[in-house]
Amino acid sequence: MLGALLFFLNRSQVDAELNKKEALAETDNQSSSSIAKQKAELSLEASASFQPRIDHSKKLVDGKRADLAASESLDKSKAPKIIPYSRILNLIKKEKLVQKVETLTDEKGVRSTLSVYANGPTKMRTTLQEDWVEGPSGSELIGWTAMAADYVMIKISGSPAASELAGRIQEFGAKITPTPIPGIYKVHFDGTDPIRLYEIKDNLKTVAGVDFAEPDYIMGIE
Amino acid sequence: MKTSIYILGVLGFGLILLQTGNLHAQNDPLIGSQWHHTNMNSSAAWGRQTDCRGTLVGVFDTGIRYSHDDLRSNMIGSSGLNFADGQHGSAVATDVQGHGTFVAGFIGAVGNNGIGVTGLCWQSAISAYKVLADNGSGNFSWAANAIYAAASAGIRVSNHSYGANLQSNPFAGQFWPSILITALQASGNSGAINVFAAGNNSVNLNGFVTAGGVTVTRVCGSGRSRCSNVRVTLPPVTPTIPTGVVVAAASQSDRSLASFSNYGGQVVHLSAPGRDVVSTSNASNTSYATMSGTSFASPIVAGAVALIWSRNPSWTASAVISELLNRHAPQPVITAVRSEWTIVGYDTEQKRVCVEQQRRGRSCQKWGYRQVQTARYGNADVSYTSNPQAGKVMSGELNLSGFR
Repeated sequence: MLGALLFFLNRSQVDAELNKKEALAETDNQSSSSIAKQKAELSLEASASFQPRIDHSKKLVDGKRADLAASESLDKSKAPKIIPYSRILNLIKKEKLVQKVETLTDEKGVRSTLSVYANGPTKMRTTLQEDWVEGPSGSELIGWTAMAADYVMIKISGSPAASELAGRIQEFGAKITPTPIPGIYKVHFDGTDPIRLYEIKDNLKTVAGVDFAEPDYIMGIE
Repeated sequence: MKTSIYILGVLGFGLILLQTGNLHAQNDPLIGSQWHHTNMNSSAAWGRQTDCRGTLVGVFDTGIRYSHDDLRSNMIGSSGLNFADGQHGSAVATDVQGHGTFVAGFIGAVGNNGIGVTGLCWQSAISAYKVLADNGSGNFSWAANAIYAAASAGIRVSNHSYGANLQSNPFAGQFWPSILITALQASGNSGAINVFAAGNNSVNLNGFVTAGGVTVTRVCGSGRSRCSNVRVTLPPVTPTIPTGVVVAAASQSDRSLASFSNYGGQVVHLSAPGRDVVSTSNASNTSYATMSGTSFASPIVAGAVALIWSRNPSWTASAVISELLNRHAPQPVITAVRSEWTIVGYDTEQKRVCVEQQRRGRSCQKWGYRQVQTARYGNADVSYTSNPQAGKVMSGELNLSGFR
C-alpha cells in the first residue's frame, strides 16, 4: 500500500518534471521544428550493404544460375541501397575532373574507375576510386574510396632502405618530406595520372625497411 | 503516526529517485530526454563518481564550441588544437560543422548545473583536437599527427568519431590505414585508451577485415597504346586492433543494434546508445540537438572509460578496458543477425550465428534466414535475405550497473 502510494507520488513528480522539461525545451533557442529539421539533415542513413563473395561451384545457364532464373527480377523497393553516396563523395564530384581511367574487369566481375579531381573535400588534389559491377539493371557502384592524389605516406624503419629509397624516389621524379611522426614521411609526385599513385605505393612497398606505403585516405564524420 | 508515514514517504520517494537516477542530476532540465542515461544506468556510476578532471580527455573531431554554456567549465584552456588542413596544432576556437560539440556533450556536458544536458563526467578536463575540416572530412594523416601529439600531452582517453567508407576495403584487410594504426600503437604504448566509432555502413566488419584490398597496375605491351589497367585483389591480412583501442557500435532505446551500425566481433567490442540521442549543439551557447550515429555511441563509451579511470586512477589502461568490457558490457559482441545481401548458398554467417546462439543455450531455429530476393552482381549470385529477428538482438550494450 505504502509502496503504491510512494510510486504514485514519484510518478506524479516525474510527470511534472517531464512537463517542465518539455516547456523548457520549447523555449530553448532551437525550436522543436528546427531540431527535427537538423535531425533529418544529420541523421545518418540506415542502409544495408553487401560484400560479394564468389561461389564458383554453381553452374550458370545463359549466364545465370538456373535456380535463380525465375527470381531474377529484383524488387527494388525491398532491396537495400547498396552503397550510400555520402557527403564526401558528393563534395568530390563537384570539383573539376582532371583525368579519368578505367580498369579491366577482374575475375570477380568488378571494374574500377580512377578519377583525379583538381580539388577535394580536404582542399587538395584528390583521387577517387569507384568499384562497379554489372547488376540486374546495369552498372552498380559497390564501393568507393578517396585519397590524396599527389603523395603517399610511407614508414621507414632502419637505415638500410635509405639509399635504395632515394634511388626509387629519384626515378619517380618525386621528393620526400618528413612529418611530425618519427619514421613517417610523405612522398610527393605529380598526381595527374591516377595509376601513378598505385604504381608508386606498390613499388615503394618493396623497398627493404619500408614498413608501409599507402595513400593518405580521406575520412569523414560517422 | 502521520509524521512517521510522512517520513517513510519521503525516504521511500528518495530511494525511488536514487534508483531512477533523478536524485543525482535532477536539475539538468533535458536529462529526461537523454534516454541513454536510463538505459545504461548512469546513476549507478554517478553514485560513486562524477568528477573526471583527473583523466584528461581528447575529442578528435571537428573542434568544439568551447563557449557553450554546458561545456565551458569542462574545457581545458580557451581553445583546442587544429590539425585539419595540414595544420600542426595551431589554436582553433570554433566548431563550424557541429559534430565535435555534439560528441563532447556526451562525455562532459556539465552535470547538475541547472541547464541543458548531463555528460557522463559532470566535471571533466577536455581538449579538442580538430582533425576534421569544417565540411566534416579529413585525411587520416591529420588524425595520426593529432594522436601522436596527444600522447605526448598526457591525454589518457581519446574519442574518435570518424572513419572511411569501407565498401572498397581500402585498407587491405584492416579497419584503419597503417598510418593511423602506427599512431594508435604509439598512443597505446604511452598508456592511453582510444575509443572509436564502428561506422555507419550497416556492414559486418568481420567480412571486411578478412578480405584483401585492391590495387591497380598498368600492364603494357610493346607500345603505350596497348596498356591496360588491371585490377588486382591483394591477399588478406590478419586484422590489427592496436592495444588500448575500443570500438563501439550503436544501439537504440530498445537495446538492440541500430540499423545503421557496423558490427562484427573481430573489430567491435561493445555497443552504446547511438540512435536519437540528445547532446550539446554548436548552433549557440544554449542549443541542444538530437542526432543518430555510431559517432555518438563512441563518446558515451569514452565518458564511461573516463569515469572508471577517475574512480580508479592507479589502474592501467588494460585494467580499465577489462573493467569496461567484462563488468559493464559482458554480453557477446554484436553478430550478423540481420537482413543483408549474401551469396546464395553461402551460409557461413548464418551457421556462425547459430553456433553463438547455441553456446548461449538458445535454439537456432528462430534465427533462420528467409530468402526473399536474388540477383546477379558481376560474377556473383547474391540473395537478399531477411531475418525476422533482425534488429531485435541484444547488442552487448554498455551498462554501468555495478560501477565500483
